[in-house]
Amino acid sequence: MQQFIQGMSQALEPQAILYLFVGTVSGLVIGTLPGLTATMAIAILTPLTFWLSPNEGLAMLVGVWNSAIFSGGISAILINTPGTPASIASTFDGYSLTRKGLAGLALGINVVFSAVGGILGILALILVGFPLARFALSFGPAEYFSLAIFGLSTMVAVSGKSIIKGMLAGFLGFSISIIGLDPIFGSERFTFGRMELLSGVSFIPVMIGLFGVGEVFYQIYAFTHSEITSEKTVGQLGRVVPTFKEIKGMMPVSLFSSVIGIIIGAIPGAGADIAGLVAWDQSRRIAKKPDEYGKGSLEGLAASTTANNACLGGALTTMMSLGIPGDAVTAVLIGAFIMYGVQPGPIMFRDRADFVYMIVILMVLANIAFLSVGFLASKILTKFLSLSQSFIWTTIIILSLVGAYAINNSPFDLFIVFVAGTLGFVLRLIDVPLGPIVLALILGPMAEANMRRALILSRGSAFVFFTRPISLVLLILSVVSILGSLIRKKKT
Amino acid sequence: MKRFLVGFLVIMVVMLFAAYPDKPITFIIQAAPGGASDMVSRTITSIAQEILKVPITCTNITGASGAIAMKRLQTSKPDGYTMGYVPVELSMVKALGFADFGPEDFDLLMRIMVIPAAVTVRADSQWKTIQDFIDYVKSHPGTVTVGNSGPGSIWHIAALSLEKAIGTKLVHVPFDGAAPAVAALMGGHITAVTVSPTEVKSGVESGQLRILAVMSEERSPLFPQVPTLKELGYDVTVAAWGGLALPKGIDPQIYKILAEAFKKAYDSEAFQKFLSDRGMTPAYLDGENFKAFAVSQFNMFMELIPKALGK
Amino acid sequence: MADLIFSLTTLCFSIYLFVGSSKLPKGVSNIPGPGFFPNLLAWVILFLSCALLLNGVWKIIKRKGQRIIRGRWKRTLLIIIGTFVYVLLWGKGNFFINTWLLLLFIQLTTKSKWYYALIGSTILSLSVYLLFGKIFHVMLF
Repeated sequence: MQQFIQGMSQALEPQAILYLFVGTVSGLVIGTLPGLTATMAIAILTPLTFWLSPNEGLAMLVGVWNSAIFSGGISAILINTPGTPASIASTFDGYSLTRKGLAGLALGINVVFSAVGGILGILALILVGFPLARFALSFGPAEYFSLAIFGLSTMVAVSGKSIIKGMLAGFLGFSISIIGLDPIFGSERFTFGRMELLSGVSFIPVMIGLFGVGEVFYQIYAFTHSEITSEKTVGQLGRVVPTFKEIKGMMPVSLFSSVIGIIIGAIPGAGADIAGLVAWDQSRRIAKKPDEYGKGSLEGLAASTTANNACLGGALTTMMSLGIPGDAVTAVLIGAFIMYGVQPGPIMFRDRADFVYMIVILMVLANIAFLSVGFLASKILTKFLSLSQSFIWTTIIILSLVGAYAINNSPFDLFIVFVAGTLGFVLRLIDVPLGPIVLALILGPMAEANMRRALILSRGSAFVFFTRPISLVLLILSVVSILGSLIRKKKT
Repeated sequence: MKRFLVGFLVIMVVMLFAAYPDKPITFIIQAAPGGASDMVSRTITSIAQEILKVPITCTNITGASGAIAMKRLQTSKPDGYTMGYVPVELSMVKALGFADFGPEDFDLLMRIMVIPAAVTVRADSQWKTIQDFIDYVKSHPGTVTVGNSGPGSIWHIAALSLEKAIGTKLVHVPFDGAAPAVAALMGGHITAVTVSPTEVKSGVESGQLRILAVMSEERSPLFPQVPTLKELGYDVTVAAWGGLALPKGIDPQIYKILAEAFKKAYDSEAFQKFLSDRGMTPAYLDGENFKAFAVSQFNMFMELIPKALGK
Repeated sequence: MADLIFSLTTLCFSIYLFVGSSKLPKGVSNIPGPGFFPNLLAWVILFLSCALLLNGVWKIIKRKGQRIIRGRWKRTLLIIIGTFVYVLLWGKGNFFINTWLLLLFIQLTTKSKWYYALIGSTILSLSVYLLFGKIFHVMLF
C-alpha cells in the first residue's frame, strides 16, 4: 500500500504531468504523419530523458507511445493512409465513414475507444499480469505459425466481392514478402542483386503507397467535378463526440476486441497491426450489424481502434513481468528502465513495486491525456477535409513520399512508395481488393519462418501443428472463421 | 610583406580548422531504433554534442546487416560532418556476400565496447556447468537445439564456433533477433541460446535461466562467477563489438578534434554507467589499434563464414 | 475485361515465380528450404489465375463482364509521371524547389486556380521542409 502511494505521488507530480502532455502532443503529431512510427518517436526522445528524473522521462515516453498508436487512426480515417501500421484495420471502416460524411464521428470513436482499449490493457497488466505472460511464453514456432494462419484467415473477409480475386491479391502480397534473405538459411531470394532488397521490401512504404498514394491517383482519375463538390460539403459535416447510447452500443464489440488485443500484444513478436486486423474480423461474430463491416461500420472501427491500444497493455505485461521486449517500442522502454536503474522482470515486482505502480498510473494518465487532447485535435483536423480537393491530394502525395523516405532515409523506399502507389491505382481500377495484400505482407513472413522453425525443431514432422493444443485450437478457429466468412459472402 | 602574408595565411588556416565543427554533424546508425547499436550511438552522441558544441543528429538506416548504412557512410564526403557507428558486421558483410567493403575502407575513430556470446540454458535443466552441457551434447549429437538471432548473425557464428570447438553437431534455430530466441528458451521451445549476457540478464536474475559460459577472453563483468570457455580449454572467443567510423580520407586535424571529443564523452561517468548497466564491456581502442583489431576480425570471418554457412 | 487482364498478369507472374524458385534449394527430408515457399506460392497463384481466367471468359461469353470505370486518363498519367520524375530526381538539385515544383504541377493539373496553387504549394513545401528536415532531422537534400 505504501508503495502504491509512493508510485502514485511520483506519477502525479506536476512536472511528470507536464512531460506527459508534451509526450502526448508529440506522439499525436508523429502518429498522424504517415511513415513516422511510435518506435521512431520513442527512440528520438529517449536520449532526452537522460536529463530527466525517472517519473518525468517515463511520463514523456509513455505519453508518446499511447498517443502515437491512437493518432495513427486519425490519418487512417481521414485520408485512408494508416499513420502507423497499428491502424491498418481502421482504414477499412474509418475511411468509408469519412466518405459517408461521418469523419467527425469516426474520429470521435477513435479517441474514445482507443482510450477504452488502453485502459483495459492496463487493467489486464494489474489483474492477470503473470499468468498472461506465462501464457505468452507457451507460444513456440508451431503456435506462431498457427497464429499467422489464423490472422491470414481474415483474408476471406477483406476480399470484397470476388473471393478468387482477394485470394490472388493475398498471394501476390505473400510473394512480395519472400523477397530478401530467407529467414532460416539466409539465402538470397529475388533480390536482383540489390543491396536494398536483402532485408526485403519494407512494409511501411508499401502500405503507404497502396493506401495513400494509390487512393489519390484513383480519385484524380475517377472524380468528376460534381463528386468533388459533394465530397467538400461532406467534409464539413459531422459531430465529433459520440453519444452515450452509441458508446454503449459498441461496448460488447469493444470489450471482445480488447481481449484479443491484450493477448496478441502479450505475445512477443505479434503487435498492434495484427491485433487490429484479427479483432476487426473476429468481432463481427458478436456485432449487431456484421454485414456493415468494411462499408463504414461504427462497430468495425471501434473494434480495430480498441484492439490496437489494448495491445500496449499486453506488450507491457510481457516486458515488465519477464523482461522480454515484445516489439521495438518495448525494447526501447527496457533501455529506459535500465537507465533508471530498474531491471524489468519478476524481481522488479518484488523490489520496486513503487516503480511498477508508477508506470501503471502513468499509462492510465496517458490515456486520459490523449482523450482530452484527442477531441480537440480531431475537431481541428476534420477542417482539413474542407480544404480544396486539389490541395488535399497534393498534401497526401507529398506526406506519403517524404514520410516513407523518413523511416530509413532511403531513396529506394521512395521508389517503392511510387511503385506501390501506381500498383494501388491499377488494382483499384480493375477492382482488386488491397486488404489481402497488406495482410499477407505482415503475416506471410511470420507464417513461413515459424513453419520452417517448427519443422526444424520437430525434425520434419508436420504433426507438431496438430498435437500442440494452442496450435490446434488456432487452426480450428481459422477453419471456422474462413467458413463463417464464406457463408456470410454467399448470403449477400 | 611575405612574412606577413604567410602569417596571415597560417592564422586563416588555423581559424578555419578551429572553426570545425560549425554546423550539425550527421551520425548514421546502421540498426533500427531500440537495439544495442542505436542506444550506444544515441547516448554517446548526446554527450559528445555538448563537448563539440554543435548538434549531432542521429539517423537510422537499416538493412542487409547494416551494410546499407555503412556503404552510405563510406561514400559520404570525408569532411567530418558525417560519421557513423560500425558494429562487428563491418568485418562480416563482405564474407556474407552483402557488400564489397571491409574495415580498411574507413577511417576508424575508436572502439567503444565488446559484448561476448554466452551459452545460456533454462535454470530447471539438468546442466549445472558448461562441462555437463558439453558432455551431454557430445553424447547426443544432432538433438540439442540452439537458438540464435538470425542466419549469418554474430550469435549464429558463436553457435557454429562452439560446435566446431567441441566437435559435435548442434541443431541451429535462427530467430528474428535475440529477444525472440530468449523468449523461446524461456518457454522451453529450444534447449539453449548463444546470445549476449545482456539479453538474458533479466531471465538469469529472476532464476529462470542459467548462464553456463561466456565466449570471451576475460570473464563478463556482469556475471563474474561464470567461467569463460577459454579457461576450460576450448579456444572459442566470439564477441560482438562496436565503434565509431568516418569516411576514408578525413583531414587529420578534424580527426583529432573528433577523436578527443568522443574520447571525453566515452570517459564521462554517464556513458560508463550506461555501458555497465547494459552489460557491455567498455573496450576503448584508439583508431589505429581499432583498425588492426577490425582487420584481424575481418580475416577471421573471411575464413570462417564461407566454411560455416556453405556460402 | 478487368478480370481477364488481372488473371493473365498473375499467370505470367506465377511462371516467373516458378523459374525464380527453381534455382533455390527445396529443402531436405521434410524440412523445407528457401525454395519451398516460393514454389508453393507459384502453384497456388497459377491455380487461382486459371480459375479467375475461366471465370472471366465465362462472364464475357455471358456478357456480364464489368467494364473498367471511365475517368480522366490524361491528368492521372501526367501526375503519375510527374511523381516519378520527382522520385528519380531525389537527391539532385534542391529539396525545397523540387517539392515546390511537384506540388505546383499537381495542383495546376487538377484545376486549381493559379494563385491558389502558388500559395498552397509554397506553404506546403515549406512546412514539409521544416517539419521533416528541421524537426525530425530527416536527411533531405
